[in-house]
Amino acid sequence: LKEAEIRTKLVDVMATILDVAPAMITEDCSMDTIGHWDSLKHMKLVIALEQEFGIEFDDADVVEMLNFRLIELTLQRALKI
Amino acid sequence: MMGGHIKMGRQEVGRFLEQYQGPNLRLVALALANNYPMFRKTLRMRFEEFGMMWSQRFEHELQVYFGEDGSAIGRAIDGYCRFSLEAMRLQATFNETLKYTAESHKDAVEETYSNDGYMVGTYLPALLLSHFLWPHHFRQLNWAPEHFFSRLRNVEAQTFYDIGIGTGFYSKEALIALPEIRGWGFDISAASIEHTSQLLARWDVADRYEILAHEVRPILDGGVDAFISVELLEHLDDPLSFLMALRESVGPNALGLISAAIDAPNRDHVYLYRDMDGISQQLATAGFQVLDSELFSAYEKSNADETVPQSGCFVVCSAR
Repeated sequence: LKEAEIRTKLVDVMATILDVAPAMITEDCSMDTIGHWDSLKHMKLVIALEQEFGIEFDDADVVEMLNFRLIELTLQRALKI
Repeated sequence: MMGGHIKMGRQEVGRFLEQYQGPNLRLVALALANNYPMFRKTLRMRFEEFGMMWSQRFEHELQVYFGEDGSAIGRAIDGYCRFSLEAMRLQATFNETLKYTAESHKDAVEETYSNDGYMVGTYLPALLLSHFLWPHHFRQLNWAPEHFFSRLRNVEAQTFYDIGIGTGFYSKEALIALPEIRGWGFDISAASIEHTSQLLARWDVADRYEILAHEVRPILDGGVDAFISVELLEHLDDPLSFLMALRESVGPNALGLISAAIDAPNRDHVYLYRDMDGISQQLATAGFQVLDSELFSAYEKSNADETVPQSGCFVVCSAR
């Protein structure tokens, strides 16, 4: 997967799980900017990403990857890009 | 890597602290924000749902149990967050399989109860905090006084058993709610016994309570006035046999509070209940009359196929 493909899929998954329009998923979006992004939604997002990309995140990353940039970085690292 | 998050978390915690004073809650909020930021909204969400009654009661519970010991609170939060992460991952698997992962009670005992490090460091502190941090546990905690303890008060209950004491939390609640009552707790876990002893001593109610390190059996001539069994049934291979033995142990006309987890795949849950009927049918078969019941859900389903952890809570009376 190329970075652009990862980003496209990531935006789709985040928009679906967080129940917002894809346009809301920007580089600056985070648990602080999306009010209903709580721990439960976050875990659903983590599991959806794991299924989409065939990976498993470490819990140490899971508890802290709380904005788009960090999720993307963690995803790229897991996919060894 | 995460400095920005910790900063944002602290700002959020600061807003929380401006509203909800309390030294122990402050330590909980800081531990969540610094070590498990994905859970940092939890306190604010519970406060928004349950209000000042929740925060004052939680602060009091924390004060008695932890006494502003920041490192002990940190360990408990660590246990709670690891426990919650595991539970949420197991729930996702359960959504696909509709099966619990532990094959038998023996597996669960080896995996959980006999592991004192896990029990003391993770399981029991997590369970204690979950009474306030998980909404369905807090709702059940508030349901018990009105629907169960009030009945015990009306019949002037003098004795109760608590089978599967766990943290000792519901024994503590009964001993506080009913100042004249005496209790006997049954549990096979040395860690649970130790934890319950400490909890009851800290609440200054241990002098009316005795803990027995074996399965439930009759110990009082003429039976007991009341009994409690909170979230034990799902840990057993054969809960119906347990309920029948319990019925024999408590004698006739005893009032009981029984709850069981539904669709809640913790690592030590063995017997799967899918709904309230599954529990109430076993209660009836074992000789208990249901007087009252309530279903508590951890959260709302996001779609029809999603499973959600629930607790089915019953007030029962043992038939003559």
